Amino acid sequence: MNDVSAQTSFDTLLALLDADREAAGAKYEELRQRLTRFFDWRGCETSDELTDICLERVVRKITDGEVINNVSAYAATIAQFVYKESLRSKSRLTDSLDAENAPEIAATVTAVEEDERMSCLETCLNEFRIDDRKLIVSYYDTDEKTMIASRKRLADSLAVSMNTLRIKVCRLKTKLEKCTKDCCGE
Amino acid sequence: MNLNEEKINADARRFLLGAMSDDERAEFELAFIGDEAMFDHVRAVEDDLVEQYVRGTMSSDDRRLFSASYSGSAANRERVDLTRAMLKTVSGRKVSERGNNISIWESITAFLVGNKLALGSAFAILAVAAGGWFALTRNTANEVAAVETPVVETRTTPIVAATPLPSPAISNNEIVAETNKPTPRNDNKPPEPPKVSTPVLALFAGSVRAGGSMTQLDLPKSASGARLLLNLESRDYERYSAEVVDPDGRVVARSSNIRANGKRVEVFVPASRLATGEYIVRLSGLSKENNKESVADFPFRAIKN
Repeated sequence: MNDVSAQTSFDTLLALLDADREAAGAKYEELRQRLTRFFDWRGCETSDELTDICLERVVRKITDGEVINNVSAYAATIAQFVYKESLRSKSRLTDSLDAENAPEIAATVTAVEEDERMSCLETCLNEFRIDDRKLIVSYYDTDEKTMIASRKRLADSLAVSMNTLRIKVCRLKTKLEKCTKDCCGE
Repeated sequence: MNLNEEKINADARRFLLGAMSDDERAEFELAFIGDEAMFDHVRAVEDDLVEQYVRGTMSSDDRRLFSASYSGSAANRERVDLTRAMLKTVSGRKVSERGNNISIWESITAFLVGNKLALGSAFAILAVAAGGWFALTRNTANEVAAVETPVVETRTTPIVAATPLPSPAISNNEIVAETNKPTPRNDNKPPEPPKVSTPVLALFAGSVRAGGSMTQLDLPKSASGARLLLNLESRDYERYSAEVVDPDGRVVARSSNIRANGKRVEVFVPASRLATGEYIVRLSGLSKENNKESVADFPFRAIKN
């Protein structure tokens, strides 16, 4: 596949996602994120690379003339194939782990890295809009005993359901994660 | 929450705990990759689970399932780390936002924490100085060093035996650990299971020190396993694989497709795979053609307490 046909196919892929190019770009990023998390949740160490392989295959299929009506569903099917292929070339330590002898998920950072991360978290939180910052701090600033009641009050104060609140906080946390990773240079 | 949301959340929980059949899981994956709204629900449930895991409020059964299902990828482990750090940051804000209402007890606690950090920093500086001295005086690059905790990962110390301590991230964040033993219940406070320690052992290519002694890994009963930091002379491969071999030549643990972090490869060996005795970590590099090429052996002695 040469560069020109690859670009044309990529443009076609974007057009399939949305007629508006800017919206298509956002949908592409969202699809990419879903695929990456799919590989993460499958326990893959190279989720980004596997996501690239998956999306390149979708582009190649378009170049080959395949008619794709639902890009996300098509990419999902390809992702499952890519995952199965990745299993053939690797065996992970965790493959042999069952629930009985699974290790605790220990910290992966040193104390110095942790300090840096905490500092980045503070910086990133301070970059949030004040409402968003207040929301994420209020959501997590609770203890185990009062957590449910406290979050219910928070949802009530915003006039949203608990589920909507959880999803909103989850999106903010994702943004915070990205900012922190960028800040720490990860 | 409507019925559909309830079902998605319940399914997402089972999915993330690895409690779905293969067919059900594949169907669920197709659904959330194709549907942004459903993906949002799964992500929110994931955040709930990670938070419960970090706070130690998950049931022991779920905790085991979650560890087994979620610890496979670095991105997932980082998410757990970040949640630990975030809860710590948020609770720090909580104290600072109280302003003048800080109690004497909180002041004392803050003072002790502050001094603990200062002491920790002083210790780290001494440790780095000791490491620098040792690095200058050691004879070859093939000597072995042991570290006690990640705080002192940067030092190389002439002490061969390492006394494992709880890793700072665990102790600082008061991460609670799994235990099968019942914990006495206090009606006013939630039970706090004992902390798990994860000894860290740094190994350098080569193996045995000039005196003939072998690097020792002290593995306490509470340890879920050990982190072995395999230090390389140069990073010649993108990916590595490691095998832990017992004295009879049996492979007791294996890890493949590992990425080096600079000139260091890190492997986690579950405690259940180790007994008291001598082991060798055989590290191989994976060539571009995916062939295994031997890189180095890293012997160590495990002592299970």
